[in-house]
Amino acid sequence: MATSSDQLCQGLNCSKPAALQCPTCLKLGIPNSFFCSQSCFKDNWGTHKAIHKIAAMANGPAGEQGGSDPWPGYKYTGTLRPVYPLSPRRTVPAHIKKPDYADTGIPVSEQNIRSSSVIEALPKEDIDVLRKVCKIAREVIDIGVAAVKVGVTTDEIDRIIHEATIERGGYPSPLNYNGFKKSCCTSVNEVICHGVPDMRPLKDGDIVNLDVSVYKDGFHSDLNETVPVGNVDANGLRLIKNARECMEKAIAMVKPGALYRDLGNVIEKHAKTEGFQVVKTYCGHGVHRLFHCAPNIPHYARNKAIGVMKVGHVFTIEPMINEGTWKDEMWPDSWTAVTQDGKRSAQFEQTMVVTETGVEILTAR
Amino acid sequence: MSSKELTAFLAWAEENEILWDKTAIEIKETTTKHGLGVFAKKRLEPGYEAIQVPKAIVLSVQTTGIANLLEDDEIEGDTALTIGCMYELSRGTQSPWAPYLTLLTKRPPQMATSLSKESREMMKMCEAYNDIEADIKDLQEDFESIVVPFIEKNSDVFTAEIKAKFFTLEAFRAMMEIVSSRGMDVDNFHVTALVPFADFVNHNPMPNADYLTHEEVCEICGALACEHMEDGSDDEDDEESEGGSDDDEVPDLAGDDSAPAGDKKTSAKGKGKKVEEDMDEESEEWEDEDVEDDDDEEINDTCDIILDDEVEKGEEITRHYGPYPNKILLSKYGFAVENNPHDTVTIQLDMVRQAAQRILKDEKLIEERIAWFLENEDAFIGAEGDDEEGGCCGGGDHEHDHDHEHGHGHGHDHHGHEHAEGDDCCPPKSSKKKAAAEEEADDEDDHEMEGEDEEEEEEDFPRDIMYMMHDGSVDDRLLMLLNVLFMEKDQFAKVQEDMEAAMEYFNDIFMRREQEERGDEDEEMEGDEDEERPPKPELGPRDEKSKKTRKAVLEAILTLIRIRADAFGVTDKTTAEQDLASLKKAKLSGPLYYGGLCVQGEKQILQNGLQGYDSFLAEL
Repeated sequence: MATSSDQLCQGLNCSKPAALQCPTCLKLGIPNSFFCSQSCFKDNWGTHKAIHKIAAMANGPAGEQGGSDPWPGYKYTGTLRPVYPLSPRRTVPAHIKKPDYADTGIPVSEQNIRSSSVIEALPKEDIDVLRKVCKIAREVIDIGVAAVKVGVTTDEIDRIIHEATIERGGYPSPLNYNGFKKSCCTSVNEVICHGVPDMRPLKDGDIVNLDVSVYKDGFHSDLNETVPVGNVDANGLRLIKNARECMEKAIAMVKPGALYRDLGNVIEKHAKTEGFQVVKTYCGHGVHRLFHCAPNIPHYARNKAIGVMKVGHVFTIEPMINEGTWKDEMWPDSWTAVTQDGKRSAQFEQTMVVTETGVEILTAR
Repeated sequence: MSSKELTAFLAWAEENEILWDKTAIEIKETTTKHGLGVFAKKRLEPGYEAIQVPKAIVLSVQTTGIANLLEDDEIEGDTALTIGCMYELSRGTQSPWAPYLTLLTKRPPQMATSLSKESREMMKMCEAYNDIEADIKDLQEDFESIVVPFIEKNSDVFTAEIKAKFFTLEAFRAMMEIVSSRGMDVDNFHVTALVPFADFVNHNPMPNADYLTHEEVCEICGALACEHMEDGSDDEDDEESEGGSDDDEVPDLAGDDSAPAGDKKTSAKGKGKKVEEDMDEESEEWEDEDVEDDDDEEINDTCDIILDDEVEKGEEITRHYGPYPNKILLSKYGFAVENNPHDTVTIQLDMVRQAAQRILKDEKLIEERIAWFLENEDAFIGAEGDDEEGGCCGGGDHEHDHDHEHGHGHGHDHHGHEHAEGDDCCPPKSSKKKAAAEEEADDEDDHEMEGEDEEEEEEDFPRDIMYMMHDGSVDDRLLMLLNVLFMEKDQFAKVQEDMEAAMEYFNDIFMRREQEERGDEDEEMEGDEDEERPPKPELGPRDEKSKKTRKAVLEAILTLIRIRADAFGVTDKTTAEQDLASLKKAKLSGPLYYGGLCVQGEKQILQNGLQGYDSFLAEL
């Protein structure tokens, strides 16, 4: 785990010991781009990035038809490419109540929590409101799914989802959450999650996950589905089916007294029956007044998540199941998570609440 | 031998990324057969990192599966940790700590709290007895008032079957003993925890290793740097990006990205800086302001055992739990040390009254003097320039892997020893604090501070308790009190009126004590070892008045010693040395042997005192 500690910072006028490297250089295979600190790196960014351009020219551009490649030289793990430029930021009418991050991007309320081991149990009144919000989210995602066709761009899907949300008086939770630019996530093929809707038309044989979240009356809801585009091969369909079943099996375990950390066991077990692997980096989460809060719910086996389920706990289960390796990496947009081997990933998600007898899936169809 | 359990534990430790070199370090039975210890397999240099335990694998109130239940019901401290551990134990092989807990419960610590009543009676002759009895009582009370209601409340977790098997009073006692004797401080998020592997390192008054962790972390999530508001860490990210191209956005620096990411990421559309909580993956963004060692520090937050001295092949690796007298070692950790330099004997104020009464026979005067002393002592103790006295724990085990309190505060109380920022009682904080600090070892540490936070030196401690030290000498307060009691009437009047005269008077007393008692002695107080004593001004010989007072004081001390001895049934039929020899011959088991050491140790102190003060009296 050690990095070489006898490197010196590449910054101008800086020769402090440096153990961290420019991530773009790492991807481009440029060695020795060591910096001592993020601030030093920032200071030198202007001159440093020229190195990327030079390396890129050696590698050759890798853009797709119709759009420009925003990150020349980045080594993509699969065949998917972003298609920029993104469409302009969509607007939300003034009368719609917005979450605290809508303007600044910063979810202050999530940062202000008292402790990470507190899991809120919502009273019945809150659940009643949340139920309605989840129902809206379900309507919206169904509309989005219906629009999935060969040739339709993910940006178009995003527009449809955005407008369906607004129509119903809701705010699309992803919009400007920590700076996310769009109103939903569209994750195609090797994208695990957080794909950014862009100008790429969906192709026959793609699989795409739509992740929709709606904020209304003070509450967030969250759900996602993976859908085939046109004719998908047998393995792809198998993957989609398995991911859905993983989620369903985990949901079946939800009841008061159950441990959050046990959910991963059943998910991974089921994924393994088809030879698939479970993404470790991204987890299910509490969702209600905050978009993401406790509990934290990993989807892999033998994890150490804390928490015992109690009536009133509201959260998502959203396993990401991969054809190949579980390992993920991130595109230089700092959002799009992709599999390291470029193979496909499928996911399903619901928002649910723990009840006296077990569970109620709030985002059910 | 538990080699099967030990092997399973070591495999588990490796899986969970506890770091140690198998060719250099091993866990095995200690020579005294009183448990396992950590040993060097070859010669190792000072500074060698013997063991590194990632914080992710410690068992604390923050990592136990029922963390949210404990939080919801506001259960804290050692009791909370104990319940958390009991829960994990009840999960059997399903618990992430299964092989570790199996090993621990296979080899329970032998603690006095588990002895039968008859056996404990044998310890009536030493002060530990009261502490142990108090512990047992508290165990019972905490079980009934905290554990039972908690379990009843969460009946869907603690079913009848589980309750009967894993949550009895016995089970509680057994786990409390483990937590008490093994718990180590980690940081201000986990507070006290079981730190696997590192907790096999035993105590030694002259240790060769040290325990270090990074204490300052976010109290909300435990990360070194995150966005939680309490932390106050700056957010260096640009969260807004304009337009489509990311060319001008500075990406985050990367370290190694090898290990599987911790399970702390939410599917949060958290900005891709691999969010707040995950410190396992090293492709973290680098924030260079608040992190204290920012140069080579890996962001892998571990609890470390690091060698201070060179260690030979076969030598046991040990650390210093703290400058505790045997009775604390016994009641909290389950052992005691022969010839413990931090051992003390308690002298109650009432004993001092008795002694004074025998000599002065004037109750009114005695009460007057005592009252004055209690009101004014703070102005003078510390006046002789030794600022490190009266420290909370004598500057010992700064990781505070213990709870000072005995029998109190097991439940809803604080975690033994929390330091306010900028606290004086411990040495200045470095990013990795030394567990055993400079020997400010204060023999006055007052471990009887029941139920009180020891955050500041000025915090009140029980005033009616004073000490005799390992070498038999009385502590400063006792010395001063005796002088106050026996000074001539006119001297007392002066002292009452004139602060400066009083200051001078008491300074003189302390200085003389330095010269007369300690000047020629080989034994030094722990705290003096590092100090270069400046040449003290030669004090003139004592005048008649001074001699008279001094004589009275010495006689009083001797009387006191006898009173204290009688109170505990200590006789001088045999010497302390003889007692030690008999004790060793008797081949007693764990707590009985250690209890015997406590008794013997206290007798040794009384004996030292008698001999010492006798000779001072003769020289006068």
